[in-house]
Amino acid sequence: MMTKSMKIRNNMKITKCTFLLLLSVLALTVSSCKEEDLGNVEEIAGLGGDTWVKGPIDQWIYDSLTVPYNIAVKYKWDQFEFNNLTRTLVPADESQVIPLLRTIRNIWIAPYVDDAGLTFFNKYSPKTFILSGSNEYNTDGSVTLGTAEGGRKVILFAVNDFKVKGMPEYQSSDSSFVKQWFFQTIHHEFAHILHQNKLYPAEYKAISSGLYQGGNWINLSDNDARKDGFITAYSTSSFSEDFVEMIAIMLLEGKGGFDRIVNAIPEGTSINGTTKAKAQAALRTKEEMIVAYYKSAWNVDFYSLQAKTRAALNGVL
Amino acid sequence: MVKKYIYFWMALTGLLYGCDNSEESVFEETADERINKAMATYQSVLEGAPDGWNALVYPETGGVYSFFIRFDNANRVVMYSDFNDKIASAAKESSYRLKAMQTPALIFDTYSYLHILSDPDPSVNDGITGEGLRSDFEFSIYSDSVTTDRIALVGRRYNSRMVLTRATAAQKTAYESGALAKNLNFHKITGLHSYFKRASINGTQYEIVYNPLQRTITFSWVNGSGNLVSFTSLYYYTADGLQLVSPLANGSQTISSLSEITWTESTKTIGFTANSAKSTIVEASAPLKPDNTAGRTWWQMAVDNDETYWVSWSGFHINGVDDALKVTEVTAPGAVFAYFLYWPAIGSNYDAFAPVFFNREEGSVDILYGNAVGRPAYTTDGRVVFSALGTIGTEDFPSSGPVFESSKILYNSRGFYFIRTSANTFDMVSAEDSRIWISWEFL
Repeated sequence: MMTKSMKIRNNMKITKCTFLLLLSVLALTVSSCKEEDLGNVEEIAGLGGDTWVKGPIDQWIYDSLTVPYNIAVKYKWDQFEFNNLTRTLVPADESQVIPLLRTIRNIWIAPYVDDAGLTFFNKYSPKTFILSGSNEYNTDGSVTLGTAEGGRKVILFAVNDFKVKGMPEYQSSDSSFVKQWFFQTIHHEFAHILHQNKLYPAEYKAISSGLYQGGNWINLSDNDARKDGFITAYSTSSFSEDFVEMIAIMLLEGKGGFDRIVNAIPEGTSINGTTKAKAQAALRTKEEMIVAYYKSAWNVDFYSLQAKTRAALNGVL
Repeated sequence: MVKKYIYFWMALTGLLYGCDNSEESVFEETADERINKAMATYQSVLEGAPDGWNALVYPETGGVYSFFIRFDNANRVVMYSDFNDKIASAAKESSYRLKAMQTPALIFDTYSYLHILSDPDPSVNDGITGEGLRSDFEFSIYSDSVTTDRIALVGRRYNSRMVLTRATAAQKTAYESGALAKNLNFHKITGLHSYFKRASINGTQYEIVYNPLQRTITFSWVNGSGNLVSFTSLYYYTADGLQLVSPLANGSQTISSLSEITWTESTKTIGFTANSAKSTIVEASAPLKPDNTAGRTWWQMAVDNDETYWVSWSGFHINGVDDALKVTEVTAPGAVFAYFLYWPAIGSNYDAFAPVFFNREEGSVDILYGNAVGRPAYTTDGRVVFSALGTIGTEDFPSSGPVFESSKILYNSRGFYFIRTSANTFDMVSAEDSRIWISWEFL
């Protein structure tokens, strides 16, 4: 410190000058290093999302889904909403959008709102639906039914093949496709959201323990699965899939339809050694546990919800 | 001392340069301003064609498809398409938007006729499962490819091309009054039952082969030296007619389109105008000039390729009906029909014409019974005649049914004309009745 000041003093003139210079440079530096302002952000193209002139479909979605249920539907093409960017898809046909969404409202939203209330529904329902006109073809030759991300976003495929009563070219043979592709997907995903918020009782996992197939489910038929006490092949893949498949199928088939499935399990034992009686008992225990879960966790009368869902489905298929 | 000052100045200049934020932009406007300006320009060009645009789309899998497109200023678009005769008569409205991506993009964002080409469902377009015709509906716009009369676009996924050219008021009127659907009447040529179709244009007889799957049309004629000449072009339809992508040149005559296409239901006649001359498509019972070598080539090709055979997946086509004899429904104990084969020189003095069965249990293909056919005879007028030597196989040859009927056709004494349709395919057309033929494929 001493030596330094000494030296400065020795070169007073220069130092002074330097300091002045330094000060002015600093001032310059400071001013030039100031954060530049962002400019006119409103000029950034596409900021705030894509826009287009709103039409009747946009208005219908806004009035019928967004205002009452806080649900947005992206029916216009946006590649980046789809998980697998390598797949070739096409957008939805406009003529399909309202018939599909109206049916979803009748078969999923209305029964839940009726029996569980608007507050419940708006709290737990997925908030965004993405529509693809075509199926998503996987490299193994299979197609994707529909996907859900974290309970917030649901992608529905093959929207252009959606057909229900009253639409041109509807045939009753379209029913099973439509039921599985659209309504089972939605009820399945919504049931996942419910158990992710309030877990089902641990005893549920014990009903069919030892019979779950994991990834091998793909080699089973629904009939194989039923002989082991599962409602569908996919429900053998894990406890949670079992739970939500049960809910989706019970709601869509109705009490009578579910009873018929249970009663149709043939005599004899499955390849895993499950008897007919054991398989039927397993499905009945699962049913009871789900009815109890809906009551205790959500204060919902499952059978009432089931009757309303099935009645709505009967109206369109 | 000096050293210290050097450090000082170095630090100072470092400070100066490091903080120099006064970048001089080479542009007069910011990037956002320029993008917005470009998007506004493209928007005004698209909607600025009051009579719309003629569009040609080139899917990656081949062919060319024609559209008539009008854009408005509210993200709406109205289209006509020549994809097939079922949709050609009706316009379809859908939506579009311009989007600032890495390059500005034109996106047809709800399903339109354009998406038929892109659809990954093969039942829509006979394309590849999961890929369709590899045709785009999101296009990059490059500023040097945009004028008020022509816009060339490049697809973002498959690099398929779309070229828009400004339409005239007359074209718009023609599309809106159903001219495209009228011209697609030419497609009814596929419903004519004779294998051979001809038209006389300005004194020349042309044989016409129309291939809607490949979107090609082939004209064959006999030239001055008496040789058969063939010319194939991609085609597409507009309100003006059937357009050839490459014009047909025959001496002084050049044909680039067939216009004023008509269809008379009562006589099943297609009419058209080419180079101001009216003409009609007529059915013929024989080729314009039979290919004398095709039959021999067909026979020898199988022998030369490791003594293999020709395959037909569905047997004879008769009077407009594929697999008219229903050979594909023939079964054998534990086995189903796989294909019909013709196996030249399977024996030292005979060929085989036989159904092949697939046994699921054993995963094997077997000839259970078939015809032993004598060596084909080649006539001087280009026919190939087959004659019966007997039967082959471990099972009894049926005395009725599809296979029996097929062999009766094969042994018709008039024989067959052979037409080579590609490197590995031949059609074999009955010389007795040109409404009967079978397609052979070399695997």
